[in-house]
Amino acid sequence: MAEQPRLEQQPGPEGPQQPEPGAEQPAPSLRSYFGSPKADDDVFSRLTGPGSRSSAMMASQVNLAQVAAPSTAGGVQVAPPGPPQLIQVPEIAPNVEETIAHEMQEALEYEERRPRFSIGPESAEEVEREVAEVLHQLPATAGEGAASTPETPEQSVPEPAAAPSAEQTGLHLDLTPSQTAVTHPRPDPDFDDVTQQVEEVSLADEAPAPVEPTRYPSGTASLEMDLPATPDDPSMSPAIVDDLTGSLQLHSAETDRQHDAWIPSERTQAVLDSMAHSLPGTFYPSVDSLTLPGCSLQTDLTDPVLELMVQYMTPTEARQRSVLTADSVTQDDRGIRQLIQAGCYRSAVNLTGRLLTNYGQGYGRAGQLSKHTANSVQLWFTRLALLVRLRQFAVAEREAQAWGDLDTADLFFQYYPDLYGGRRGSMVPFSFRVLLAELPRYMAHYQTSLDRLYQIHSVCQQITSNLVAGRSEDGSPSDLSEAARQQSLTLWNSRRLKVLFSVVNCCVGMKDYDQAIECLSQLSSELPRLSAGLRSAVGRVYLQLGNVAAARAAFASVTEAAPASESGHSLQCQQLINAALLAIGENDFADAQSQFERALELEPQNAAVLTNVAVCLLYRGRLAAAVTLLEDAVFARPELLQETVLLNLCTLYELQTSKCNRKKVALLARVGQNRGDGFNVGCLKLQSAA
Amino acid sequence: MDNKEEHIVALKVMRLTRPTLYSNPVVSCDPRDLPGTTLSAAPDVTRLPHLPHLQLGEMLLLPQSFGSIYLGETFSCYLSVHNHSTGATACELTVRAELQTGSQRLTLTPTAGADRPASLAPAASRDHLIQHEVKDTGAHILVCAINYTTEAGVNMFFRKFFKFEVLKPLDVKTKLYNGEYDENAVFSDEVCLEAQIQNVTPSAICMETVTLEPSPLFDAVDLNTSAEGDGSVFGASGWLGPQDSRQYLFCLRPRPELRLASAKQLKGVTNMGKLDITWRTNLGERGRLQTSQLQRMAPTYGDLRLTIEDIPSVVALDQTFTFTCRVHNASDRTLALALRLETPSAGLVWRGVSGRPLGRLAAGASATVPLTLTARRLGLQPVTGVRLLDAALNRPYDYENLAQVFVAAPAPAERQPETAAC
Repeated sequence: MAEQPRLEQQPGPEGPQQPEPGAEQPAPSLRSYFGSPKADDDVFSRLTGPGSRSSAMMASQVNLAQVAAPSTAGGVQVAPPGPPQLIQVPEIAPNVEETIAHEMQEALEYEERRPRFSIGPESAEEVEREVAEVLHQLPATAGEGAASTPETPEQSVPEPAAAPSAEQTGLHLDLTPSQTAVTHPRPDPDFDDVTQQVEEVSLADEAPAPVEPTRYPSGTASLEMDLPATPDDPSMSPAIVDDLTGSLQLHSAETDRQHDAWIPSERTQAVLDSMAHSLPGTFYPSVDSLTLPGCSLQTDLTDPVLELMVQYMTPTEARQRSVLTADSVTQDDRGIRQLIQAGCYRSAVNLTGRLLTNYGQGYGRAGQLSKHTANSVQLWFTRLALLVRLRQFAVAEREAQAWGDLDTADLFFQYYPDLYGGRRGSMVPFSFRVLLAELPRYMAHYQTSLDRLYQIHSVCQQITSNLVAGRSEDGSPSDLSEAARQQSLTLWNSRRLKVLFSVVNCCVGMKDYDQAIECLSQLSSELPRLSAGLRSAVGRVYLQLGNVAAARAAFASVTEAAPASESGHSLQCQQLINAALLAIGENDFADAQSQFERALELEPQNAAVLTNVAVCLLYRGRLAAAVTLLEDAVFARPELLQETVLLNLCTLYELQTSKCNRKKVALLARVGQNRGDGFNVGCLKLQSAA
Repeated sequence: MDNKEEHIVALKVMRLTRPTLYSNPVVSCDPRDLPGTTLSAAPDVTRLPHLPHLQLGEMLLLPQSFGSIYLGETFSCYLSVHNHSTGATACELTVRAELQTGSQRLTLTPTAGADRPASLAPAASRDHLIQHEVKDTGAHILVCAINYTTEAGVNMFFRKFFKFEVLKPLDVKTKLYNGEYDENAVFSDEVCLEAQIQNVTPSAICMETVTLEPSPLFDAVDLNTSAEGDGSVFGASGWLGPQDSRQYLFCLRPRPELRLASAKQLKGVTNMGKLDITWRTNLGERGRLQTSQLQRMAPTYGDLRLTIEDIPSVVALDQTFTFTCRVHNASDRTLALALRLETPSAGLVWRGVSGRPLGRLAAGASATVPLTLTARRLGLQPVTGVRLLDAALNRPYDYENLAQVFVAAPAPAERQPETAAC
């Protein structure tokens, strides 16, 4: 045996490599700007030692990351590791794709539709008002509807054979929650009032589906599309509200059931059963089997853009920033949506805090008794989603702690029979489950995330197999219509696939590339129309690992992918981008640049490709050209004022000259005019005073 | 020595590691939920429009830190010289880059920008790229020296120093096994190399190639491929996690033409060859290492070599079988040899005459000797008890454990009926 003489033993690779202080300073680590989800990444986590500049935000994030305790161990049930088993439901695949494709489309088209549609439940006051209006004007309609229920499922779903088309589903989705709100009023913090309201509308509650078939013989979908307004529009007349109510009641109940379905753990099921079998008001589960959340932020989040403007610009210039705040919108769900729409994520978080305080779940209320409603759970989901968007992972994790694995009895509709009538299922939106499952990975607890994701995945599989076996989602016997069953299958299959995407993201983050590739291949076989994109993703995973040969093979297989490849890039553009990335793998930046430029000709609006051209220019020694390209794009198209683009641009600025603050402040001014308070100012690499 | 303030040009240096594919965390949201589509509608250049749930996008992010640099990687740097004055031109500008290690100084020649005009107008920049394959571990200092003349004709000069540490990426341990470890070559002159390669970086790397460049007397056979599938026994992805290691196995065989002609010469050869290792990391960043000559302990053959030419590996119980040995005279004199068959092992019994003479064997010559055994016990049985007697010196050469034979039960075809009868 001979130890290799040439490779001398060195001390471990812990020491950060810092250029001499006083000499050129390295750019601070990525983590400092983005709080790095790739927390284990050597390249990014290394350079935060003394000597490198760091923004205040970074310091706080890093510290929090160290302090944060693994909060998740208790509640997590360990799912079997390894890739999930597939359930064969071949006929569903096309619908799933449609659903996913539709959601994409929906997101893209949102700009046009946004002002006219209400998506979620509205404030309690508004709901009450509408309920009152409905009650006063149309008690008879509800009764009629109740009488005509048996036939309604078939009538209400146009073209049941032609699949619960995603388009149709989507439209219903847009409207149903408001509808739900009318049927099941979201309680005000003032519970007594609400209870009264509920008792008054009990007729409507028990009637499963009042429908007016004669008035809408051609089906409801087209009609809904033309609706000029939605129930949340205060100017809307009560009559219109009622029309909507009537035509949508069935879809509401049906889609509610599909979306809310969940299989509780045995323990939780036992609590729910005890509830159901005891007299109202006589059964109280123990406190430790309840979810008792509370906000952890005592003070409001402030606008970092404004703070930086005050620091670097004249007071007059700084005063020109005008963005929405929690005070300038209505104090309800619509206000939150307005704030999110404007990119004011911090203000939106503040507003959720206020609204949750009304529910008794505000600051310091963690661990204390409070009552959940569908709306309060939605507020929590929104709040935590925004915190993740803001990369306030530590705060999010702290507040998520109380939620555990979202499996307590008080998160089920059955727990509140007086409020929600016979409604069953979980009040927790599916996205909330996925969000909480993903949260640990942002703090580099990848395995916890994977365990939770696979647990959700297995429930999705269970629900799918229940449906296939002709039972309802949670396994209870049911007499679902075939159309409804197919619709639900499509929904749950698409949810299962979403979880698989999350697994891929998690595996890439933890650099378990083998598993990521396996999951991507599975997705590719289940979503053949997206296979060009998915196979390209496999190629990128290989490239990240450094396996250039395998990446080349994966990219080559894109050509064989179905030519009917969906939207997104054209196949040609995708291939050009792949070829360019491969050229970077071979260190041929000249070739990469020309490929990216050809891709840019095909998709002039693709900002990622534009940025990549600039990156290639730098590696070819053409710094000035790279700066010009990015700068022109950012100033011409305000929508490109995004953190990742600006981080690249500011990196170039810093290489170009030591006196680059002027240019950065010019960017800050643009950001101040165009972006909300959710902007991550770290990307500007301006030292903040704090 | 240099006062920064008086210079009109400034030097900025950035290490060019490969860019990274970067994207923001995915927060998905059902249109039914409270935020509606507001969250997913926010523009994000890192998101793929057709795969909104996939985080791994196509956007490149420039390196944000110096990162780590490992032995065998290429150190690339961008030197940007910028004239930040408002009206003064820097003339006769030269940029020199030098890399100092503990033992040497290397002048690095820029691959771009060398032929740029010598004077730098206000607000103009000059760009240089330098590349260097790192061949030493330990502290390195990049020294950049800038010379220029002001319009007034004053020579100006300043230097900047950038220090970085080069780390070891892989831990390589090798073991060489001579085929003849106990002077009784079963596989004659072959040498096996076992190389344990451990990833000592903190992140996963992709092993691209591990090859053995044998010394000129040997042929190397790569034993790291499997017959089925796509080749490598380590799987297709090449993935080697932090602190993980792999065992590579190679077999070195003397070139056939040298095998008998120069047995003596082969005996003294200790240089076996070099291992050549290439690996890649993020987006194909490449590293390459070559070990120094791997040395083996020279085998001591003695004067006589007894090698087995041909022996069955499996024989049936009670079967008598013959195998062939080759006796090679590795000494420089003629030997008169006699063959004695000593007490055999319990499982095998010699058949034939013990003490028969083999005749005279000239120096360097060899002869084949057929031997016969009968198998008496089941299981793996060693062939022992061969003794060659040098008549001139009356010196015995013993060969214990010459080979091993597996004695199996009589062929299944014969036994099967019995079992059936039972």
